Amino acid sequence: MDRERLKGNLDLLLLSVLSAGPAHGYAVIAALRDRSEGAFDLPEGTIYPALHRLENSGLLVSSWANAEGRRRRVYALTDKGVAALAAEQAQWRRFATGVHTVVGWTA
Amino acid sequence: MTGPIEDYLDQLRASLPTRPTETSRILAEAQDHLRESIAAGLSAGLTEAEAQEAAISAFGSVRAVARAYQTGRTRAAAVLRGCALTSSKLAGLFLLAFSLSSLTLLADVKMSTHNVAVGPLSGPVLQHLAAGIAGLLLLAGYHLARRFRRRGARAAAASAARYFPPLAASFFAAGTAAQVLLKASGAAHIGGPTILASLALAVGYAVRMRWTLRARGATA
Repeated sequence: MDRERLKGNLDLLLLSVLSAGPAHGYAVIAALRDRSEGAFDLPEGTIYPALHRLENSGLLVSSWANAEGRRRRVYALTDKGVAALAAEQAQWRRFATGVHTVVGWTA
Repeated sequence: MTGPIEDYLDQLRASLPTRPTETSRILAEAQDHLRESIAAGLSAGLTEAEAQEAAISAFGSVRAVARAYQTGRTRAAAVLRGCALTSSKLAGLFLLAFSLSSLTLLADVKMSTHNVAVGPLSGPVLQHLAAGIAGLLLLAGYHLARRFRRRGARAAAASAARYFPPLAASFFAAGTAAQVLLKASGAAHIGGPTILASLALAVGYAVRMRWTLRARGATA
């Protein structure tokens, strides 16, 4: 998968993963890789800046939590994040439908 | 954690274009992530060394991760920092070359004319010596700053750099005192606006270095 294309849709993907519930960075990245069956395989360290950017935009909130004797930063969707996810999903559906129609391919 | 992971985190610390508090959080998250990744590798049957290598490889190169944190502002700041470092190096080399060539010329004049006005500690000689020392200080600062950028605030570089600001300030004070004394005794003319400017530059650089050290220390 083209990395630039993936980066362009990273916000939607991260918000989608976190819609299942709060998670720390490693779990978010593992879910992204597993749910895409390995197709979305960015350098793991480059996912954190995207999470921080979403947090700065108010779409995510994070806090330190103790788990298994370790401190971890756990991320969760905010109300604004839930609304943004719904908007991004609707936009993506319109885009995907348009592409499918133009190329004459149906899933 | 020791070995390659610690080295990787040190390099990341030195490369991140973020503020100290943000850097501290990024490194804590990276450390936790790498630890988790190593545990997964060990569970999959890798050796400790293989698991560490795989964890670093999956996390991405220091350059790629640091670049992902760059914004337009930090990119511009990095360019300015690079320009300042290069300017320091060039200024240091210029002062050193100026000092050596001038001292050689003065020695030549003294030998060929037996000019007693050009004594071993006469005004011109002291001024050119001061320029040479200022050049050396600038070059030392340049190399320390480069080392910091590569390795972070560790070991000898950090210790040596702490002595740089007081050394530069002492040198500046001694140079100024020498100039004043020479002027008072009428032994030499004050012809050193360039030299004084270079000394001021050295002190300014030293102060900036001090800030950098404090910022690095806050994230250590």
